[in-house]
Amino acid sequence: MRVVKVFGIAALIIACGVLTHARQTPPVVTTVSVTAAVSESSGVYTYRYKITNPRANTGSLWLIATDVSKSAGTIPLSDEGLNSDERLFQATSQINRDQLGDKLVAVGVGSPFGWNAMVTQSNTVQWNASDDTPLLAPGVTQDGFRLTSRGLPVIRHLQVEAYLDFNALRVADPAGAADIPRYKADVDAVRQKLSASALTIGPGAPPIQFDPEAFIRTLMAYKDQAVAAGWLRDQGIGRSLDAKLNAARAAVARGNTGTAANELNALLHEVEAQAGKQLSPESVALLKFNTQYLLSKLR
Amino acid sequence: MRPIRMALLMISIIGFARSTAAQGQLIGTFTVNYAYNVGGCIGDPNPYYCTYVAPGPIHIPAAPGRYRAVRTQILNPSDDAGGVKVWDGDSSGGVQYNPASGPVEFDHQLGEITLYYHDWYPFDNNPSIGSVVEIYSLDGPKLTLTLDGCVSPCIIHPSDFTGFVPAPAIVPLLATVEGLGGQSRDISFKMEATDPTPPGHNHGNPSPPKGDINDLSTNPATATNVCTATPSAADSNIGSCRLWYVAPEIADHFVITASVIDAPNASDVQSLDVLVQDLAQLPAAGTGYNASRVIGDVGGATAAHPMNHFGTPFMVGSVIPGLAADYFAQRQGTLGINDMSLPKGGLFDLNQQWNNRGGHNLHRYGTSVDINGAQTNGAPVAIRTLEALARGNAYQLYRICEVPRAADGSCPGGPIHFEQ
Repeated sequence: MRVVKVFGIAALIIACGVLTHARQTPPVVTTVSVTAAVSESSGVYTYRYKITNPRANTGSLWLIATDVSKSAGTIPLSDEGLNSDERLFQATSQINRDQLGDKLVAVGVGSPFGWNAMVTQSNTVQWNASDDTPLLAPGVTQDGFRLTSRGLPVIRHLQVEAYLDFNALRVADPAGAADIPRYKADVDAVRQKLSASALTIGPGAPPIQFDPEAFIRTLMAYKDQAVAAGWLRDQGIGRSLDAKLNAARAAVARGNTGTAANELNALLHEVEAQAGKQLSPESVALLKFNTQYLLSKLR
Repeated sequence: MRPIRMALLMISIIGFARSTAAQGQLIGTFTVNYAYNVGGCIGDPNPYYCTYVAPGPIHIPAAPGRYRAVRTQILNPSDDAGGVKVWDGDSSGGVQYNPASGPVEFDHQLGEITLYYHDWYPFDNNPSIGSVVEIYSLDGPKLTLTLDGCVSPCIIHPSDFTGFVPAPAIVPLLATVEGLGGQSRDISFKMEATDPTPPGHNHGNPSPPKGDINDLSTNPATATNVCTATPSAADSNIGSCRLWYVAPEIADHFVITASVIDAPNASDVQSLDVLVQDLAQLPAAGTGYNASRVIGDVGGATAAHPMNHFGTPFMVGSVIPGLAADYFAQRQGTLGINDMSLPKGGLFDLNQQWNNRGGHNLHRYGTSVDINGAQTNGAPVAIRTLEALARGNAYQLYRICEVPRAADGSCPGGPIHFEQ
């Protein structure tokens, strides 16, 4: 009987081990909170991001990526004066830049201590927690993510992903080369479940063919998206900004650029007055710097 | 008028036509009629002229070579009307032969072989007069082997049977035979590797696989190295048949020979390379990596597979050096680059038995790289840094567990496999 007992205990231990591993619940990431602020100096915009992993998530974040793709028909932007810190994966980023060419907005990248960054083949800047740094756990905020660019603020997506140990990846390994596309799709599906995204702002290139009226319509769209994103909560201010933008557009349509400039300057004063009050840093950046660019084109 | 015409015809008989006992390959049997297969003018035996009654002379397309014409029957023994003629040439010129006086042989250079009666006034000719003539080729059949659809130099990928979806690499082998003479001929195929050990494999026992020759026109495919060339409907002297070469999983250079079974001199040879093109070797060392060629060192080279660091040019020229340089800049550690692909790609048989049961399912196309789990200084690799670099680079490498997982689902230790 002793032999039976020993085997039984061994089987129980093995079963418990397997079940323990099998019972590990994959982390859940459903949301992410990001704030972005922009400053400008000598034509270079500095975008600073602060990322919070909400407590609603169970996964700890290791990847943060923001879109820096460049649309066709937009102005090539110089990379002069855009410096990256030593935490950027320089070689790989340069290879990707060379591959992507004009599909990418030129950026400099800064990372918080313990994080690395790279310009990826997916037209993003991606930050990753290095091996010496705690992952961004639920309830924890990390700032120090920075981009510099000559690109104006536009609305961008930022995506985060929780770390999952490779051994916990429940995907059937490929049996051969022909099975790799299936494997990649399955891995991507797991990664998607570990990911959340949020709207933020990032650098973008203005159009080559500048049309003031179209640009004002873009500004109006930014205002609407800022309201939708919760970056502008006071409806009264929203209506006031709408009025100024509508007036400016009507003036441009009439060919009266002087009147349009007056309306846009009034809008700028209102934005600056409400900065830090009813307007979030994102909405201030979108409206202020794009309006300034528009005014420079109207002169 | 007939005696005069006959005298003229006799003048045109060529003296050096000779008969022989050799039989040759029958091209065809033709009935030549004195009323309807008539041509040639007064003083000019060229049958391409003065043809007044359809269908006229019998023109037989024929490849250059030696031929024999044999009259085997006179349809009207009481009247031979000067005898059937053979014209070797075309409208611009040629030589007339007279098989009526015995078999004739001639070297055909251009144009057609034409059978006819020479008569410039055929309207009163007796249709019961005629001859049966057999034309033989004395050169025997000629075989041409074509690697159908594979432009010379023919290069195909090695097959890959490891996945759930087998990916055989196939080349159609088209054997065309001239000189069939209306008869089917069996064609046999064989293939040989030119190297005793395929590129990158320093082991040879058992012998490396050479691939297979199959008939893929059947369902299921039939393992055979013989097909039958049957005369085509358009030309009974020409026929073809087809089999398919299925490449092995090992890269190598092969020679394929096709032969007419009962005429071994009728054969043709084609060569092809089974390989992944344009693979390049990762330099043995660079910033942040060591791909040592030394047997047993960190680079994973073995006596059986001493050249194990080949990849696509971009992989070895940009992706790995870039990844390693960034890793070194951040971690001050050097990565050991283990197995990639062999010089010409194809199966990387760790067990030296020409199969994948030794470990590597992948490593065939220059898109795989194994990185040691420890840096060259013995410290464990910084896995998050490595994974981030693998994922974000231009090849967007995916980590794969290439060996059977443990019972708890974990991937056993050892080199970390990344795949494009």
